[in-house]
Amino acid sequence: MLFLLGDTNLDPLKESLVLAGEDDKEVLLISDAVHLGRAAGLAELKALGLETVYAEKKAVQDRGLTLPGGCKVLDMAEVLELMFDHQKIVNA
Amino acid sequence: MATLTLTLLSGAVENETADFALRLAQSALDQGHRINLFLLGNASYLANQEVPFQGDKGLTPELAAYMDSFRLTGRIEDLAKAGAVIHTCHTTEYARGVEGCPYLAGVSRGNVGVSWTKFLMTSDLALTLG
Repeated sequence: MLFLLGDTNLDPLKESLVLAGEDDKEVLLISDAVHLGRAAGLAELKALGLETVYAEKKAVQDRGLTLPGGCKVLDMAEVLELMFDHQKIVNA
Repeated sequence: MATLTLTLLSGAVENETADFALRLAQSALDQGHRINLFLLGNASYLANQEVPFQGDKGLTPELAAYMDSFRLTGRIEDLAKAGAVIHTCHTTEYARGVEGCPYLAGVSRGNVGVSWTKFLMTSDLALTLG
């Protein structure tokens, strides 16, 4: 299941992770949430059981961030492909 | 070709979500997919034509240019021209006192019970962004 996160408050995400059950959990960071793609945030997300962390490219570029390799930066075409692949997306 | 319905809850400026949604919609259209865009809640403000202010703006040109960068009306019209089907929720327009304001070209008055439901029932993927 893909979770979509738009800011750095992890509380809604923590509450909604249960919806994934035993499914793989991935998260796409957009807007200010891309700050969580940095090392410390990435560690928090991994600790929550999110196997794969993505960040939207323009939001990353607008903030001048360079993210570690553990966070996959996607352009909008790749974001769209990710969404179609998942079908179930939870906006946390 | 797939059909994607985006339900947008945010208007311009309040966050980056509307910008993200419109870029996602444009990308989908560029790839040959169909887009339904439902403007709900504060996003219903995006449905209307702008009303230019005729007096002294009280803004420096730099600040005006910066604020202009948040305006999304042109991009909404571009999506409609490119084939996106765009409806509003008239109830949320009514609650904001803007029901009856002229729509942008390509935007239609809609509602949750009919137009949004049709969008959802004919979509391969539906996503709410707020």
